[in-house]
Amino acid sequence: MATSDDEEPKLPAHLELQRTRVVCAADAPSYTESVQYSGAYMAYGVDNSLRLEDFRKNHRVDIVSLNEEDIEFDIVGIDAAIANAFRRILIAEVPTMAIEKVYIANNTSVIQDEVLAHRLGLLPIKADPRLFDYKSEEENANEKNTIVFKLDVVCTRKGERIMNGSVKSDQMKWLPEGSEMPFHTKSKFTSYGSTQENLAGISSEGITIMYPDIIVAKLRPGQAIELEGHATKGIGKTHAKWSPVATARYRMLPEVNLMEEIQGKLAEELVQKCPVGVFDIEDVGSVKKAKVARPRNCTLCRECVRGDGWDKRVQLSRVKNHFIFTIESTGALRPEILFTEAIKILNEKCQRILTEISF
Amino acid sequence: MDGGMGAPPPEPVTYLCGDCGADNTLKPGDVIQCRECGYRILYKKRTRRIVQFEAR
Amino acid sequence: MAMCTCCDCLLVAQVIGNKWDTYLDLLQADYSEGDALDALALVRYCCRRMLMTHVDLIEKLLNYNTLERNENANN
Repeated sequence: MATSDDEEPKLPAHLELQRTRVVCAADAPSYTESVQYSGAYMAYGVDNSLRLEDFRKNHRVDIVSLNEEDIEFDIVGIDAAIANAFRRILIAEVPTMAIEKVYIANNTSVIQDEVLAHRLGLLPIKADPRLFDYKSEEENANEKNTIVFKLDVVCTRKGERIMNGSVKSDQMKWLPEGSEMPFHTKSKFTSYGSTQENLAGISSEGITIMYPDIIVAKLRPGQAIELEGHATKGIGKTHAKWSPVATARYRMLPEVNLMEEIQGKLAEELVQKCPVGVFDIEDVGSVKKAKVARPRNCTLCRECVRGDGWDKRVQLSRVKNHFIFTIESTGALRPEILFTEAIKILNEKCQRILTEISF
Repeated sequence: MDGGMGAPPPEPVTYLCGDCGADNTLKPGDVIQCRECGYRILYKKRTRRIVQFEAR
Repeated sequence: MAMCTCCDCLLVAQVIGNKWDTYLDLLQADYSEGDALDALALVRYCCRRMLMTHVDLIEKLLNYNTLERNENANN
């Protein structure tokens, strides 16, 4: 086994390539697996075991772009399994609030009650799910587990104008005091101990639907909708309406290598071949030379390795432990917070396993 | 629906005309016909009772 | 049966419920379908098809409104 003070034994170049890269040839990708076994390279005296110090040394996160809804970042030094765990947790296990129960007092629109209820469920709610508790079916609705929205619209004709012709999501009014239904009884569907406005962490604008202009229904004069939507905390695994992301995806960092000098006509052909502009032409003296200018753009369409002899000139590969991660939030939480929440959830899962296997 | 002795007399129910949409209040035994336009198909109004749905 | 515009893209849950009216406005303003969808920042083909292939059937159903005449009768 290698010790840290001598010269570390190295793998021969072709094995190092197989270990760290997926090579995308014209026909198929190869070396797609990640080598896990600690003794896989024992014959070369190379220790392949996973070590925390190595991880600390090699792990890196670089944020490429970030705004209210989207984030793109590079995460380096993890295995595809971990990257995929984050992706799956983001889609299915980070909680948000979504309307789950709809109480309809009146609906004379052409949209059926069930369809209307389903549509309301899909509206993204701008409320921090971390402030709320999960609600079980038996539990009573209270200020910690239920957000109530009210929709009460009547479509009328005022001269030539139709009022409330289309019902938009900003007509959903948040009821911080809880449910007003059933109308004529003392006990309501929710029993709030205090108003939700006083809950720590609720912003001054209160709780709203994320986008004000989503069309909920369309009405004609005389038609009316009167209902309450009760939002609870849930996860995307139960129903996609609770999923906090539009997409969460990653791709491995593409790497483009020119195996030989590509000059003149061939260089121009190469630039022409690539649909996403990975290659540029560099003028060296009077010679036109191809160079790899924007490898990150590469979608691995493999156009550049098709055709006579091109697979000898260009080598496409992906770096196995470098992931370009993109998250698009639907609005409840900022994308970078979503990712830290995903990490916490994975951590929790690991803790659970640790307690299960320890005595 | 008539119940036992001492039950209140059946309340008149409001129906909607299938053609002109006018409200029609009918008692048991009344002719089923719209008072506004004479149309003979009447619809029962939607219940005012609250109906619960799962938003799924 | 999508009578009204869907709230979210059926594949990736991108919110599109607020984009239909804008889409129609852009088409009215002589945008091509592709340019209009680009202007709405719909990059994926799943989200794009949601608007592109949508038929707003509810507009047809709204023509059959008996309650409307009811209002006139009351006036």
